[in-house]
Amino acid sequence: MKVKIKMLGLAAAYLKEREFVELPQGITVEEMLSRLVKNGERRDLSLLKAATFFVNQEPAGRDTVLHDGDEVIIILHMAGG
Amino acid sequence: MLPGYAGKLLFVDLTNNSIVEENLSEELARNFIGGYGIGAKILYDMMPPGADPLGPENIIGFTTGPCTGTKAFFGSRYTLVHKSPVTGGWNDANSGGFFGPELKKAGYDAVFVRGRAPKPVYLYIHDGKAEIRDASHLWGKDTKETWAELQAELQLPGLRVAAIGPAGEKMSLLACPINDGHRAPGRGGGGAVMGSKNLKAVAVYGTGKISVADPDKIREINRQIAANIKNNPGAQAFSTMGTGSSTAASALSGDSPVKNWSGVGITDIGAENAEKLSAASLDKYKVRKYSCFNCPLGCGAIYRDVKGRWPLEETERPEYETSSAFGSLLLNTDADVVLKCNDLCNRYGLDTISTGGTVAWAMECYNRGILTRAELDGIDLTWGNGEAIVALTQKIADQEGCGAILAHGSAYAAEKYGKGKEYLQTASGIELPMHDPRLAPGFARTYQYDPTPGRHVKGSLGLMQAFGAIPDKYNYSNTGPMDVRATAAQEVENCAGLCTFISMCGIMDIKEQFLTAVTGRTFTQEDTYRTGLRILNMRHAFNLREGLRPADFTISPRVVGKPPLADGPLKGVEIDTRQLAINFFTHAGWDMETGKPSLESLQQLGGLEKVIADLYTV
Ligand code: SF4
Repeated sequence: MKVKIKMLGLAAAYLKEREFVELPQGITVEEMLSRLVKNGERRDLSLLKAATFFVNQEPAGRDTVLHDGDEVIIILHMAGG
Repeated sequence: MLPGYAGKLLFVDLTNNSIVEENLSEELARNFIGGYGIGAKILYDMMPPGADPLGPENIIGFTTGPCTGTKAFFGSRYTLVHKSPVTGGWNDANSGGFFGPELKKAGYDAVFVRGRAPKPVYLYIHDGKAEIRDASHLWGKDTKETWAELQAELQLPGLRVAAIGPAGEKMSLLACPINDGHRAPGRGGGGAVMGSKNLKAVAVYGTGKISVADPDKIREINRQIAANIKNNPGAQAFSTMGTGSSTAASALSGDSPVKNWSGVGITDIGAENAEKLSAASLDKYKVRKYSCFNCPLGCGAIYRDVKGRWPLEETERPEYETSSAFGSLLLNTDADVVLKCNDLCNRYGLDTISTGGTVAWAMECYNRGILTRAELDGIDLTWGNGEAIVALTQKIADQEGCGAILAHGSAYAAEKYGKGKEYLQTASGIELPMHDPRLAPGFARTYQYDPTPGRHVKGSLGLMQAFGAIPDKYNYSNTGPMDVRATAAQEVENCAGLCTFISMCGIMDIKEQFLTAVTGRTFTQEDTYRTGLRILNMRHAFNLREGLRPADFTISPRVVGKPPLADGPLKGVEIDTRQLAINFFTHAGWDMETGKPSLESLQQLGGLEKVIADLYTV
């Protein structure tokens, strides 16, 4: 299935940025995330725990199951400033 | 001399035209570290209770910490301290840039000013000398003009200046000094206090060096920080995009308040529109990077926008707080509006958070028909109307027409107009920062009950929750121990003179490591806890002596989910602020009704003898 992805804030720093991803049927947000994490050298991913998700403009959790054509927004912000 | 400190404090009385220098005592440094810790102790000792915040008895202090101006990364901060004309209680606000480090190089850890000069003056501090000088020729000039003129006049290109603009001169309660052209201890009306004293600016220049106990250790810690930052993609992105990296994300996640705290980002603004204020969108104006003194992140930038509706030859990248206060809070997504309002605030010397918050209150009142178009001098302040936002901000800056009322903040304006009180979003009368307690409930306790109300850089439980570091954040039982510990840690970080973004350095006990290496005194986490609590109690005692009790500390109900939002990611959240406060007060040893700390808790902390005498001697 194909899912549309939008990343906001610092999310793109940790995840492979692309507009559409091809994913197996019935995958959760969490499973999608692990496929998107940039690999390579050792990285500190602790901040990624704070990400917020929307699926089709509705608030979603890490266990939300994705469907073909869904639009997922991944948000990672930092506080302060 | 104490390592990490310049070793001297300066006391200026503008009424008597007197300047007195004192050595910084080891006891004061040990008990209160620096910054507002030392500031709170000195103001408590030297100021009479009940002083008029805009009268000569109020003391305003420019205070640094032991890490300020040293080789320790992130040591860029100074803190402004005074009694607040906005809340009527204790106030501290910190700022980065180069002013704090320069003050120390000029020979002083802190300078305290009381009295009132008969005519405008500025304070010139240079290499161990201080002079009160005439500033009549600077009165009416904006903060950048003042800085440039003093640099030229004194022929010192390296001169650093904290100056008020026209807003502070006219004692706007939204006013703050601006240093280095755009860095600001923005909150709580410090600009009005300077204006009330006819103090246009403090100008500092120094060639001294701050000795530290263990320079090799500092170099080693700095190397580790640099390596950690290189390895952390989030820190790297933050270094490139600054605090604005969060603007679009926060507008949607629920972190930023939307539509004067009544809206929902995902529906009221939408993902596409939120993006218009993202760092990626704004950075098309970027000319170069800007960094505070000795910072490995360098989160600032200089912008240029000559093609917009309000051409700006040179301006600064707005901080997240500013972009949200003039963005999501007003349903505005026009970047040029944010840039122009930020520029106006920097030049006139206005706190961007409180100014945006005040515009938001006026906007809601206008859209509900409570304030008429005539009362707003014909400005059509509909939600998101960029031209109207800029026009009103300009009026506030000039104190012209309705701006003369709104320049003193939303709480003052509601009183003056005699309406719209129910739409204020404030804590003890000060507009709130751009982190929503409904997303991170820890902010509800600090916004309402911290001795300096309405701040996002206090009591870091809220910050940790907003980062996602605390699970089960809506469980209000037993938050006391963690809230008190996080608050104490934040006190020490602030008073050490470190920037709050040191949290990105990847070293858990960085404060303790730096303080040990800088001062030569071993600083453990237990020391952080005790010292942080001592400082917290000192600020709290200042308020108690002013007659302020817990019930006097208020917060607008909407902000804490009363009533809850009907939609969006924060739907249904209602915060039990009272329980959060009881947990905190109980664990800190404070009485929830009177606010009085228990004798035992004060004695355990030590260094609070005068507070004990005041509270417990009949
Ligand atoms: S992180 Fe940003 S605000 Fe903090 S010291 Fe560095 S440049 Fe200044």
